[in-house]
Amino acid sequence: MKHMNKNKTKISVGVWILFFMVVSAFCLPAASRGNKSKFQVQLYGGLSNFQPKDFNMIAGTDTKVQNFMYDVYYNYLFNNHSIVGWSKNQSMNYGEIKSGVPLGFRLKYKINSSLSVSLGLKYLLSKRNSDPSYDYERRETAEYRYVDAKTYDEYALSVNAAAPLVGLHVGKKLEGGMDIEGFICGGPLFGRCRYKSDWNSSWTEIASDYSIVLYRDNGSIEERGTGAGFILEGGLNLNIEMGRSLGLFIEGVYAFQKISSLSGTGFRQRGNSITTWEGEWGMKKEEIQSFWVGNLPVEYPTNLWESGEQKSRDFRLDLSGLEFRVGLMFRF
Amino acid sequence: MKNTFLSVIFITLIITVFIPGNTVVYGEAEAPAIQNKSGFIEIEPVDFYFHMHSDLTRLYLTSSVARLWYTFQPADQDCEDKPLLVFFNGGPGSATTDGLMSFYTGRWTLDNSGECGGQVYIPNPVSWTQLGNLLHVDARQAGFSYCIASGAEDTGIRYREFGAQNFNAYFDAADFIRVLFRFLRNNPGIEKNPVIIVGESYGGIRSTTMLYILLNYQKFGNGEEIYQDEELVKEIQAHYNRVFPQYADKIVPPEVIAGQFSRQILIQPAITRSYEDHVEGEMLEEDGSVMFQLAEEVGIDYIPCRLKPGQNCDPIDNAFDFLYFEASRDWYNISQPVGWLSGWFNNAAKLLGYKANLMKLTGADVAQIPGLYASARTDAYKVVNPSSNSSGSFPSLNDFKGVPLLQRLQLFSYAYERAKEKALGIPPAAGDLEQTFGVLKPWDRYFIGTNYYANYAHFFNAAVFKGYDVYYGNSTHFGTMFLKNLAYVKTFITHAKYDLVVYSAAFPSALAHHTDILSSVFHDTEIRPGVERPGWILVNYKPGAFPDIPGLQNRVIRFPLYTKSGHAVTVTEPVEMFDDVVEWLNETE
Repeated sequence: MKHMNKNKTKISVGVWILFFMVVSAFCLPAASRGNKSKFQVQLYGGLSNFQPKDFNMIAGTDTKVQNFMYDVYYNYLFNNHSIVGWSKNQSMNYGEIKSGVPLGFRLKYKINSSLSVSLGLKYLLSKRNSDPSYDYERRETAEYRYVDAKTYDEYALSVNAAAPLVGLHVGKKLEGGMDIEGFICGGPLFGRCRYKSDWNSSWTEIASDYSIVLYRDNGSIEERGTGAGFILEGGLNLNIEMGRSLGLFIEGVYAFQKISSLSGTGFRQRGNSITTWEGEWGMKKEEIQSFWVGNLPVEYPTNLWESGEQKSRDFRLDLSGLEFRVGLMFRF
Repeated sequence: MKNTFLSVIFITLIITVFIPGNTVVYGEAEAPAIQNKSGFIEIEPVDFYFHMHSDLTRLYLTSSVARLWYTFQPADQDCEDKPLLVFFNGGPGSATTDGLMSFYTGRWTLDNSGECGGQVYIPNPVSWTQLGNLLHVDARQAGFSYCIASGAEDTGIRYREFGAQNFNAYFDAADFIRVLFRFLRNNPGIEKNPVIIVGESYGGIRSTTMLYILLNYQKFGNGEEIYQDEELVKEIQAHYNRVFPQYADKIVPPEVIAGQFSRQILIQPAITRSYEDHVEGEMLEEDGSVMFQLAEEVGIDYIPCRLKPGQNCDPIDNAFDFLYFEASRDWYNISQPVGWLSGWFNNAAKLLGYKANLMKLTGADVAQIPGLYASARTDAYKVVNPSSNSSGSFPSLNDFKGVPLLQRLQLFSYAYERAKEKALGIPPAAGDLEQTFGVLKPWDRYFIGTNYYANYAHFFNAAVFKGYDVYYGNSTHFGTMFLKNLAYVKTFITHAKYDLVVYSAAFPSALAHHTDILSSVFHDTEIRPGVERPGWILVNYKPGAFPDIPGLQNRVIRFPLYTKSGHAVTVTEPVEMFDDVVEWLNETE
């Protein structure tokens, strides 16, 4: 149900953009259209290679911890002859966000033959749903085996952001109904992030003639954040006319877009313990202390702070990256 | 096979000791004033977690309801002015009622070597009620204590109940703190009195963990310690609010807490087990060791591991093999035949199957305790597998193929005990408790001397399996906790000559392995005027060993040698130990 609501939100944004396009293209007087038109409406969508490094450290840390708590530990036990062997099965890894989708529209006003200004709205979204699962089989003796398994019903990282933009465009007419322009845009950026994890685990004893679950556990965690930052982007745009008032364009952009000072709600269920909270996002640094190979330093973002814990540094939702966009343009 | 067998028995039987008790009493026999009391203190389900100092490594657990059995005997005189001595045996999973309570600590005692052959409880000439008020407590699932779980009729549920949520050294210590504080809360006349912990065998781990939690309680709620139990911290703070009102709702410093918890008496304790084992193994291998002395006595060659090249030989297993299979000696007391000490405990357990004996031992009208009645324990359980081997033949682990390992070990141990009794001509268990209290469910028991499921669950559970440093047999943290407690807690430890299960001769050197804390350890055996049984351990701390205890330099542990004793010193030298304790308690410094 929650997934449906989220999808509805995305669809609503798309519908609004389409609505602006249609209104802009068809509600203005037809007489104003043509090469001498002062206004353009541009609608675009595309692909961005942004990888929010801090936010992705959730998945990176989970991977590191799994490796430490199982692979490293089991190797230690094996090398110390505490177990006779172990093996691992894993499907999917903890997924990181490695791309996103920019959508937007822009209303341009032509000041002269080479200079334009614009107002626009940009929306960015990305969600990585990975739902990993793994099991480790540990052989204590030739006869007894133990399987420690974990499956995720949901393991998702998602971000979305919106920005009103103002831009400056410098263009040049080319032959063949094409023109090229360079542009820069900027404005405030409003963003959200969400991390959700739902899992079940079990520990099973297996012998040749029976198996029995010795221990079961499950847990859930969700952390949300909202915050504001800024966006500055610059790029090149190639327009291809397809009629008097219609055109296609492609553009390549580098967008510098960062959000800081995020805060939001959280929820955690472990066993009978349910915790809810509201907190500011920050980076948490810890050292996992083991008796088998010493300590494992980890750093990850969170908005949960307990017992006087303090952030090691600020958390930034960095959505910067190259974007490739295609779009439709209407003149009027 | 012999090694496997010995390892199992060694681990499961290692320690026998006693525990202390408490209050929100489920079925305490009515007692208007300070007088003999017995009953159950119910421990509600407790949410706690282990961690490795990261939120990402938390292992959340919820315990089951437990009714823990206690017996209270007030001091002979001026009980409101006397300390409370809290007794427990070890195991883990071993009862106190058929251990310390039945042998020369309470008002009544058994003595198998006496005129009646241990068949009746007789007055104890060295009752510790001369020293103070006594509280004997049975650990979770041991003795008369039992657990409750909905769906207990399901074998799988019962199996999972013997897990980390109910059995680990930290939660075990928390159980005893809860029992102690609730008992004190219900007995305000002695609530602020000094408390002396008396633990035997694994009871050394329990005492160490209890005292460390009591002295550093805030660390068990703020993420600093591996065990986090918020409700326990609240309960401790509530107790301190009453005892130390000047610190109400503030963190009470350990030196103030030691005003109530300033002494411990440890009988052949396990404390820093991994180092103790290591040193014991080295000592047993040495020429002229106790093993060679015994070999000479029995006229059988003892071959140490160092003379068995190429074999996977563990020095302690090797010694135990020799003791059991060749010398036929009891590893709890190598001057006695195989099974000698467990014979004493098993005898007590059998006598406790009779209401009259139970009433005599406790001094309470046990018929008034609701929690004993079958009708009050419809969801109670104490074992996984209700069946038992009654053939009387000595078993092999292979006799129990096809059942889970834990059950297999339990069944093996049970069958072995029964076979041993048959071989020794001991009649099967009897009793009349069912006639008074009703017939229990097949998986419930009125009394279990050592609950092997509980014992096994302490070292084989999800927390240990997943690498949390909570198993006392491996962790060096228990030694660290002991050494920190020592800064505030005066300590008396027995040194029994014939005990190989807890080889106390190894203890000073085992402590010296904590080189991050100690600069040296000296075992002083010099004879001193007026001291019948000499023995002290001088512990020298490194500067800054514990940054929160500035200026800590050294401490002395009283460590008297008992030349006729094995593991259970109160069984063999009750008068001697009592005298030494009296003398030690009277020491001003």
